[in-house]
Amino acid sequence: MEKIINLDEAKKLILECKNLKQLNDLRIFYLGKKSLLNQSMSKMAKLSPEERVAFGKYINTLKQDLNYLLDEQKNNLEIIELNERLQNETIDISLDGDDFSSASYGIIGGIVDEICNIGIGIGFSIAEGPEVENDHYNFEMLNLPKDHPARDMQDTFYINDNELLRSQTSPVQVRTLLSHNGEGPVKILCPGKVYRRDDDDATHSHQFMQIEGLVVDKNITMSDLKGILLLFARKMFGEKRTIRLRSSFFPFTEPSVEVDVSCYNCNGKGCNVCKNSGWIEILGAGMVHPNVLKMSGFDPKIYRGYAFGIGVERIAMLRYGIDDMRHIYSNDIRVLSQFKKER
Amino acid sequence: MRISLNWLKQYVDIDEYSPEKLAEKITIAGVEVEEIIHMASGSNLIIGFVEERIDHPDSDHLSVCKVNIGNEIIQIVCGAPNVDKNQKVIVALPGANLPAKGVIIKKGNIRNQESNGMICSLLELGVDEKYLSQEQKDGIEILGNDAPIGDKNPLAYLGLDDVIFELKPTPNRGDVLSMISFIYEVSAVLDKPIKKSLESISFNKLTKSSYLVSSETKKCQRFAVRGISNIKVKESPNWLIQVLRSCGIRSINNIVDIGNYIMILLGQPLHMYDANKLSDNKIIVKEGISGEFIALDDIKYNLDKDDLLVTSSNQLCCLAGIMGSKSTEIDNNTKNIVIESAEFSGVQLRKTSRRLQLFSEASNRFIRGIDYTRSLYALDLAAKMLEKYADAKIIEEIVTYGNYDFIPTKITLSAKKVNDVLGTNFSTFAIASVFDRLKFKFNEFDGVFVVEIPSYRNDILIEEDLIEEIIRILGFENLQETNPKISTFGGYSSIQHKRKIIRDYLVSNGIYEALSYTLESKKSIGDFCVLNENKNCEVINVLSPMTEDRMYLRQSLIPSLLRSVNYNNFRKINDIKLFEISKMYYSNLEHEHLAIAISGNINNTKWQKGKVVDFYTVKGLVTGILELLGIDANRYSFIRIENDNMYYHPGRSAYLVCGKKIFGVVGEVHPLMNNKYDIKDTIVCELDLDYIFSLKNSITKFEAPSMYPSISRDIALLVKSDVMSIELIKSIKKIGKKIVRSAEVFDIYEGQNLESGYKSIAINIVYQDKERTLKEDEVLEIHNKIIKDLEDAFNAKLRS
Repeated sequence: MEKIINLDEAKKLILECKNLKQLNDLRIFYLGKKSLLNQSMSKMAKLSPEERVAFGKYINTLKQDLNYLLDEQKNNLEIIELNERLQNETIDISLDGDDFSSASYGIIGGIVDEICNIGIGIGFSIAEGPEVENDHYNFEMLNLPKDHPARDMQDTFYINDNELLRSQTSPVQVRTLLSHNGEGPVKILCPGKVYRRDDDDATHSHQFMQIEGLVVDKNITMSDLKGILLLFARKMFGEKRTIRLRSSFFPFTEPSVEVDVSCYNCNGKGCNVCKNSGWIEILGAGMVHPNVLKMSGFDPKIYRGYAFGIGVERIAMLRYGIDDMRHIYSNDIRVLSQFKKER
Repeated sequence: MRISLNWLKQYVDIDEYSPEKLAEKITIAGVEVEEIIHMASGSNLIIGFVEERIDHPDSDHLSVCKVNIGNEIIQIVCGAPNVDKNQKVIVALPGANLPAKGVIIKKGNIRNQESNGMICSLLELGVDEKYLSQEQKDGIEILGNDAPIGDKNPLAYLGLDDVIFELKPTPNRGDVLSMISFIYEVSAVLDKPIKKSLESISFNKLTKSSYLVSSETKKCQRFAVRGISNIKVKESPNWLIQVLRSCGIRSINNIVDIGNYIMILLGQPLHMYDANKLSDNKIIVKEGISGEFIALDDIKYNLDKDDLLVTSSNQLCCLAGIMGSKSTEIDNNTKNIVIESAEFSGVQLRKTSRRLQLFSEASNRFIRGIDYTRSLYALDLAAKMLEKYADAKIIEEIVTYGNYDFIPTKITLSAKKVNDVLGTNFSTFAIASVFDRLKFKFNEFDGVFVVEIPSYRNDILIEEDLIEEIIRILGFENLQETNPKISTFGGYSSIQHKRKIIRDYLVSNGIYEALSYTLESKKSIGDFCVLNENKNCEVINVLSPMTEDRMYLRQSLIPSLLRSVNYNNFRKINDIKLFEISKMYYSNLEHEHLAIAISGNINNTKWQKGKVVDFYTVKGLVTGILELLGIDANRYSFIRIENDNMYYHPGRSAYLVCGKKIFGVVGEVHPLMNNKYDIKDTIVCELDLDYIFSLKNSITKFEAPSMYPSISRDIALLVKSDVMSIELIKSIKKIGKKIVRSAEVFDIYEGQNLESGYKSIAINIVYQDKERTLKEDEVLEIHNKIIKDLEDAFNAKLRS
């Protein structure tokens, strides 16, 4: 039987095709209406039945093989073309992505959240109260009668004889204690804005954020206070920190202490952060004064408590090395955007 | 209060501690040492004698001196104008370190003249200039004739080899404003004995008092005076000048200095009157006097009727405990004096001092409370010192008003209570040791102490005060660090939780949390205050504000945020997204508000601009918040703001209302406000969070998505520009109730090809039933009905 097409030659030609147009021309040449293959089909009628079967089989195989080769090459060429196109679609991957970045919590808001979250984990609730307060709750109920010299520790914004902008969040403690009708336990953190008549400068602000903690229960000891202070100090400044208590005075606690944390910058060796002392003052604390318990309806023979107060701006300045408190209140996007990762 | 360590050393042995260590121990025990001051410093100093001085041949201001330093004579070139021969001076020899000047002295050659050291001024030795006269500041220090030539410690000769502690006692520890009480403190803290006590004083002869004293007010319970005659006003002895200098007080004359010295030693302020200037021999403390008081400082003070005054006949001699009068002042010619030692009400003195902004060392001590058991001793000591240093000849007896008996407070305290409060295990013995160290008298039986509180510790009133003494003296390191006992459930309240949701949402969406001041300026108060239902409600101001910028309690957060926008704009930051949550004050109540301010573009990449923010940007944030809080959109609506609103663009702003309650506002800042706050197009919102927090959550009810196919139809309608799309949507939903699943605006067109005053609204309507497949013709019927209704109700024209 004569060979209509040299398959090897066809294969060679097909593989040599450089583009789809050439390949299509070849397809027409081999398999089109006018192709040898198609023309030879007309000879079929003249063949004997046996020959016709054999010839038909041959033609079919040939068609299949050609189709296979053509399709194969078409795929190859398509991939090559696609790759070329994709290469041409190359973009500058070094350019910035779309802005899906979140903003930041306020510097102060973020630290308040952090402290509250620590407290919540160990059973504290968050208590809040009015910022325009009565003298009665802000001072008198805290063992600070009118004209007590310790009132000079906090120069206060008065609105009238009785009302003032709270100078501390302690009145929230008083209000919470009163609401408990003499029944413990009470375990609260009181975050909030407080106001004192200080000129705004690098280290003072007439408005600042305070967080006070209060625990009142039976059998509370000063060692419990020291324990919780250490816990907060370590959560805030690192697990290697130690604390030191210094005797101090607050009208609403007795005994009262100032709390220093070992310097996180030099580990207590002395550096400019801790002014070479190895210690950094972070908060004030003490055992709730019996007069305060009594005035708030708790029997000091049954209940005792401890309290502590943190200045949040101070913590922020220490932690982030902020040298001027006014940055915190500027709402400068260049400042705020630095605190995205601090949650 | 300043304390000299040289002075302290005379009473308590402190030699084993460096000043720094000593300060730390005292501070930890409760009396803060705020500053450690070295009076003067310098090494390799010596006292020299200028034997010869000649002008420097090559200079018009330098001198060449031959200085005898004991075993040799050296040449020094000196630039001081006051150097001369026969002076005793301080010489810094080569190698001397002068920290105040920051130099180390070397042998040198000054304009061809050999110089082997430096003759020093006190300034160069680091003495604070406030203790120096102009002469001392300008030239070298000239020592007295008694200065020993060749002595290697000239600072000691001058009493300047001293270290000073600046104490900052807490308000309850008025006692340490006296040297004697501070000695008790140091002795207890260091557990060291007190080496010497106050000398006892007796007089050979006292003259009968020529004065009568009394008090007509309860604010003065004790008052004593002593007349002293024939004194001589002159310079104080050196030691007294030095002691006062170390305490930060400049010497005036012997009389004033003695008063100051006794106040510092005993904590008892004394006041001296020129006896010849008193109108009468009856000295009476009074209140209820009004008028003017001319004080020592020549200033007229207006009196309040509550002020305490020391009077003689009608003469106002002293604003009690605060400042004397000009009319009874001691001067250089004073011969006879009256010394007053009294106890005045601290409460009243605090009031008067604060009102007049007049604080003195004396008033400071009275305010904190003095120890009156020392009052009469102070008068004895004053008399003795005046005898010695002011040649006083006639000393009168003391005349007193009031009761000077002292009955000490007694406090009963058990060791059990101490350990219960502290969580410690202190033995009875350890506790007793504290009282011994503090010199508190006590009895102890079976672990129960009865403690007598000495007169100078007026801060100790109850058991807890003593417990504080115990732990501060024994040391806080004795406290354990107990792990917290957890017997309560912690957590945020529902409102705190909602507030957190809002903050999280806004921060996640790229809005920064701002923090600004509650006190608002006079200029801005009232601006943007549109959520206040009582439009004319009064503003609340603080009494005597510090500045006009911080005067009122704010009623809206918007001015603060706009100032922040301006602040950032000014620094070339134009894309600004800020929010703040804070308390506002109006209608006599606090209201919690949330405000957002957005300016510039959003969704930017750095190299391609996003959308310019508009009303819809902030509206989207507001509806996003309400959705998160479970407040369904059908429970509130946006309505147009008043046409004449001065703060918001009337056409591009809306109130949020729920029923009749306006609980929020969203909109573009009014162009006039843009000018006032110097900002560009800014969109803001302000929400009444109190109200939003009071709304209940809508309940979540699950509904399975329909399994049947939906049919989507778009229509475009031409309507008048002021038609609100929400009305069209409402109408569509009303008519197609059962089978309209959604109807949403997908395009708005105004402008070219459209008649002015008209706009085209394109709406996509999706028809779908939950239970069956909708037939084409039933949808068509409803759809046509909807279009007909829109045409009728809104005069809309269907566009093809």
